[in-house]
Amino acid sequence: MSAPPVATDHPTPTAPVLRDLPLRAARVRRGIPRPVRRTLVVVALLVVWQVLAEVGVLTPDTLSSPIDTVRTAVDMFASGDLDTALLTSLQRAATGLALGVPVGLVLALASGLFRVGEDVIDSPMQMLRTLPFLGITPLLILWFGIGDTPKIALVFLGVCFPVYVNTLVGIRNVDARLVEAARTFGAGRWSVIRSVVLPGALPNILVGLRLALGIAWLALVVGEQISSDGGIGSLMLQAQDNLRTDRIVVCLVVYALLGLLSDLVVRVLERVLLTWRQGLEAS
Amino acid sequence: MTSLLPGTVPADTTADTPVAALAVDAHDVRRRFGERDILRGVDLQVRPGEFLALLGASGSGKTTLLKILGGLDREAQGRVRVPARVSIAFQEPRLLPWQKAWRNVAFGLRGADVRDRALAALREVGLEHLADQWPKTLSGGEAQRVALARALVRDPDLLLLDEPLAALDALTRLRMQRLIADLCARRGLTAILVTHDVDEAVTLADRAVVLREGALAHELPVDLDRPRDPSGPEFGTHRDQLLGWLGVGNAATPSEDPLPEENTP
Repeated sequence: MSAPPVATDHPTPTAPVLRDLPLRAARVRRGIPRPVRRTLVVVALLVVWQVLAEVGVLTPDTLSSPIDTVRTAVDMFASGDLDTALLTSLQRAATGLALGVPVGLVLALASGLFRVGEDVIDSPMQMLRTLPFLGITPLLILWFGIGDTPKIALVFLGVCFPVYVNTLVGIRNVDARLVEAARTFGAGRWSVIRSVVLPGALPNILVGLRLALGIAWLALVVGEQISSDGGIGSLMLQAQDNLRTDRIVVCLVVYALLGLLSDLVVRVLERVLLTWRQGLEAS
Repeated sequence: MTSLLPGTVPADTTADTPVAALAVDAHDVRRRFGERDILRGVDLQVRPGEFLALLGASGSGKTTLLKILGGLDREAQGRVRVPARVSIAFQEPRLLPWQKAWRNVAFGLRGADVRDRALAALREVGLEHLADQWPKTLSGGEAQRVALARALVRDPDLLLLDEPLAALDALTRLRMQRLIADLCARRGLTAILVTHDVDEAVTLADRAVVLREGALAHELPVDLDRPRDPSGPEFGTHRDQLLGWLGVGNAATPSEDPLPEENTP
């Protein structure tokens, strides 16, 4: 081993100017905690809205005040209007989802796992996917009339595609090296699908489900405003005819809450089904 | 199906060697990818209980050969005979992240005592206490040991190791080398190790072969006593021999090239 060569013509190093890095402990934490700050913003907006209504800038014809809206909501519950409509809407959404999610899933599996399936299914699905499904509403009315069926069909169509697309992406993205390893250790075709492909695609399948739940409500808003035969949408349609902005706002809030609830459901599902992903956080 | 009797085999494996006395018997193995001939006629015989190191520069076809032996590449030409039970440990652990460690070890096993067998294999690699962990909570070395347990639990007649230690840190790598040496000695495993690491090859192997331009170019029996001391003179001779064949020869005398210019703007 020879000693490192002695530097002869290297420039002498000059000391750089050092600066303090602002570390966490050194930073003074002041002001309101973040959760409080967030809530305050919402409360402030509601107050502004209420004040604008009191002053007369917002007339009840334009937008009812928050307090009026709450009062209306209580009335609508008391009269049974709201729960009846809610039940009808929930039933339609559930039926559409119960049909659309499995169909999207099965089509994606057929397309993702078998070459024949891909050739037969994928291009038609990708073509149909580009159709704005809400645009089909007039056709659905012509085919199914104005009862439950066109609404369910609309939810079905809206739900089917996001589940299909995301499941397919999930299957395609499964690590080929895991599949190879599974084969090495004696897994047959079905075993690979069951223990490698499906669990690997599950995160994407759940993303598809989350999108599907959101779209289900969207489809229902449109579908139920076709005609006055039950559901939150037709409640809004009536309110519009009667210039009742308070009832419209109540319905909007209900929709928002339903969306929030759907998201919660998928979050719980993710927590239960994808525990392995949270392994690091849990330990 | 291998009724191979260790100890009854002559040390030199010539073409006359009876086929039944081999754990691997490959003749004129060829593989091309598009226009590139990766393997141009490899002949390889491995005796039962032998530990073979397969060396070669990147792109020399080491991993390709290993995949063919492991039955993962059926597009090759030639004749390849391997035992029925072949296990592979890959460069990455390749554990299923959605199955706990012991389930990964037990993957594909059948029977009532599957968990016990998996736990026994985990005990062999010193990880029984992590049996119920998710793979994502394991360190790189632990995951690789679980993968090793998964390969061992099947009681393989041939263990293929595709650079399983390459991604580990230096200390873990040394520990793993010792573990593999122990396991192979205890079980009398037949193993083929693909590696870039000449020291690893000399530490573990009974014989090292160098793959170059798609064929086996050199062969070196390693008849050193175990455990092997990397600082010993004989170890050094073997190392230099292999390094020479790999084109980075004469490491014993460090190159006198000037250090690259530092402090340049």
